[in-house]
Amino acid sequence: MTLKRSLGWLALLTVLAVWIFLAQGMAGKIGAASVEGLVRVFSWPAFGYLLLGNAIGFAVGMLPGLGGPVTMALMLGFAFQLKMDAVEAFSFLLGMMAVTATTGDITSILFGIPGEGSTASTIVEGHPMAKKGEAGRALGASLMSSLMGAIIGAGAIAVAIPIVTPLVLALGTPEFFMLTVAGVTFVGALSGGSVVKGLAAGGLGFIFSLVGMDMQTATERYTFGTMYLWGGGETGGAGIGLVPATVGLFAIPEIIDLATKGGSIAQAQVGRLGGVFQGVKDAFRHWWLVARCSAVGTYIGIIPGMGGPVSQWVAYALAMQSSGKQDKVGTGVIEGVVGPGAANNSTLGGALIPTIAFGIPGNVTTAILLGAFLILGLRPGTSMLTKDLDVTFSLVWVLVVSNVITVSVCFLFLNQLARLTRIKGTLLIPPLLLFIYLGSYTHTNSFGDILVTLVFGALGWLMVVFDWSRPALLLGLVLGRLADNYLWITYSRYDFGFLTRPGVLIILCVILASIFYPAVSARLRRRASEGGS
Amino acid sequence: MNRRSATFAAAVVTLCLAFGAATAGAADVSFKGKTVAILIPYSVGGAADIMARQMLPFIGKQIPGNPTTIIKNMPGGGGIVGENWVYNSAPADGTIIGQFSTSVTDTIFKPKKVKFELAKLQWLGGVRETTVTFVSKDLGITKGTELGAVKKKLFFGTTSIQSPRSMIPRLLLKILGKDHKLVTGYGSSGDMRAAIRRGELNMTNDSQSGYFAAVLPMVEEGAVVPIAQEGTVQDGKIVRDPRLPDLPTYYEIVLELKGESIRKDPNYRAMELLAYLGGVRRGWVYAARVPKDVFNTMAASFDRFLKDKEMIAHFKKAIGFQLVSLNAPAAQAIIDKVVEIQKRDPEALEILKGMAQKP
Repeated sequence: MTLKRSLGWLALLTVLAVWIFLAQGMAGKIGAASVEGLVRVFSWPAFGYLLLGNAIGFAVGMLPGLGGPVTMALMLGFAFQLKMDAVEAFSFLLGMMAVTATTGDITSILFGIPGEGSTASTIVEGHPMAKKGEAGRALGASLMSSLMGAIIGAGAIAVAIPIVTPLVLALGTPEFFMLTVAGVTFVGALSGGSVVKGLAAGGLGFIFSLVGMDMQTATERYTFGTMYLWGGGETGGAGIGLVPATVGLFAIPEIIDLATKGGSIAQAQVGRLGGVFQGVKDAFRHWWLVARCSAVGTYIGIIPGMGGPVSQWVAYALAMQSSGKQDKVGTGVIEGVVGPGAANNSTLGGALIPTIAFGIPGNVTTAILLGAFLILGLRPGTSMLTKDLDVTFSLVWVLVVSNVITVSVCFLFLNQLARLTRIKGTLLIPPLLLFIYLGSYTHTNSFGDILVTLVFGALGWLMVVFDWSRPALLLGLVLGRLADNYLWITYSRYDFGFLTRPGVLIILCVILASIFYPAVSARLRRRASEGGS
Repeated sequence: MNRRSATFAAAVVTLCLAFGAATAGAADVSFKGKTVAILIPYSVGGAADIMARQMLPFIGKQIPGNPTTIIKNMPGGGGIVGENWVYNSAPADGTIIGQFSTSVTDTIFKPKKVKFELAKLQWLGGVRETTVTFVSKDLGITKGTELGAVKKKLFFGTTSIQSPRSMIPRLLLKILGKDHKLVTGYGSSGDMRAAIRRGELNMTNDSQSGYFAAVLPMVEEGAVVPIAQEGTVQDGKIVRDPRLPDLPTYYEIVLELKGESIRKDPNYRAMELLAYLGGVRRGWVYAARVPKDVFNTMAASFDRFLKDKEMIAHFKKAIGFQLVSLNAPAAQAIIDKVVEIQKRDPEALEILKGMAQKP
């Protein structure tokens, strides 16, 4: 353990030294631009727009299914009609987006229903805590870790400026493919009791992800002649939307549970709601986990195609592995709340890096933001790192300030929020159902979305009853399509030659090490203890 | 009276007549109190959607009766679900305007799914954009005519094998007899720009808006070199886009290298057909069922919209060039030509269909 930690510190110090070496010429400029960016965010009316954006993001994050990206696209029109300047527009748009992952966690924890597509993982440990009457503690931990994750993700933008070219361009499609393979190895950690069941669930998710119009050759796969299953993008896309599927998998079984058991969400009555401060302390107590999960979240944000839906599960798996409580999955392990809480917030900061530096949007959110950049007359690229550096820093500050404000407001109302878990289920179910279907329907505005929600709801319920891992299935669903796409591009570009690329080999070694390390270390420990006795 | 003022006077008279004609048809149809929706057959947040959202306020103020204007998204089937709906099921009172990007090529590549007849759509107007092919500086060439002499292996990147945008450069390479590898599967132009920077690709192409927004900085930086453009259709002919006057078209390059006789080559004819297919890059359409007087009113509104100085200034700032656009007769003329060529030259059409199947 000490060896592992020392190695970690050594790596950190080396990275720091390299960064200082690369950044020495820019230090003065970065400092000045950073102050100017902060001033511009706090000047009127930018700050007003920021608060407005936060308020909208607060609601959008909490409402299940209704997602940040869709809302941001709708808000883009306002930003442009109100003739906002760049910093005002980003305060508004990014201020909204930045807090959705924060407040989305609240819905996940309290109701077991994902507030956002990227906050489903907080359900797994957070919601059992709410059921045990520990909603306050879970919320405190998730909010605090969200704030820390957002700050680290935003800080990453600032840190990335001098090293952006190697950071973004070092890895190519073959390496992206290997990273998705690495993601698959996390299925083991997500599968709870039985690894075989976990792998089967992951494989099922993988197959579901292939439904739709395949991007490479425009071939229909498993669409059974229905155009709904072609997907909604301009070039076709995934036939099964992540939001309807996630909401169905988690929300429907939860509602069935609530309806059949009667009573309220919180099954154990605790004297006082308290525990919020305990949760905040938890986040700080696991600061190393928060830092690692934020770093993972940031880097996943940089990789094209990935984002919150991937980073949350990787962080969850990481948290459960390092907690050593894998046998207690789904019982309210606090690490499983803290890790994903941080990662889904830091991802946005990471995703902004290639968008700002090269005009390469990694996901829907940043694609819309790129649209906003262009409408406002900003050209992503070198100028964002030189001439318009203050605008770049204003983005950093919007991420930080928005989360500070939102988390503070949440803490003020936390007791009232946690009290929602004591409301009678029969009163909660109708509005919850309404929001779930409404949110799913925003995926493609068609009845098919509702059907997908219902089908995955039924599947989710069966999986709960027979104790199969829903997280493994979701991870398969998000990674399957990416793996398929990256492998296709890799093979059509490099044939099998890609297997000799150094990046690919390094990632392969890491994958093998992470698979065999637990077994080897267990054997070593056994041998050591035998030797001792 | 000198010649210049005579021309001026003639122009004024023509304009007055045109305006008179436009308003005469518009007098009796009003959209007062109604809601007019532009239907985007894709999800919220895509390129087509973002463009329409910027257009909306400028369009709204030109429609008689100042109706409420909204965007309606109906994604699915790569655009076909929305296209079919507009043609067959949308209200016929003119309150639904389709904004189609791929309707023309869908009729060729996805004929079994398409439930509309291209020739019967009523075109209110459209956006004209060329496409630009660019190569990595590593290839060491500065213009398209040198492409045949490149020593390195060409890796040409595109989204899908059916992408019409990529077919012209593919045909160019075929005519030049240049061996290349087609790498498909990229999610967006952004992904391909990144791949060029990493050396994964060394050739790709982009729309004009993409080119001005994100490729031009790379050209200025010296990372990539533009070598050819698709051009636009002007008075029935393919010409260089007026916003990119110095970049030759694929056709010019082929003619320079292969001589006039190449015009008879079916591959060349397929290349030409593609330029007409892309002549209306994004078109605003009414279903055949919408009455003629409603169509005339809306066509006149779009005509005013296209001339709006504020709109032109906005798009110049947002996408980097003037959104030179097609009014109703200009868009209709291009579509008529597409329908005509398809009938006249089935051989060229078959080449395109074949290219959508294999590299």
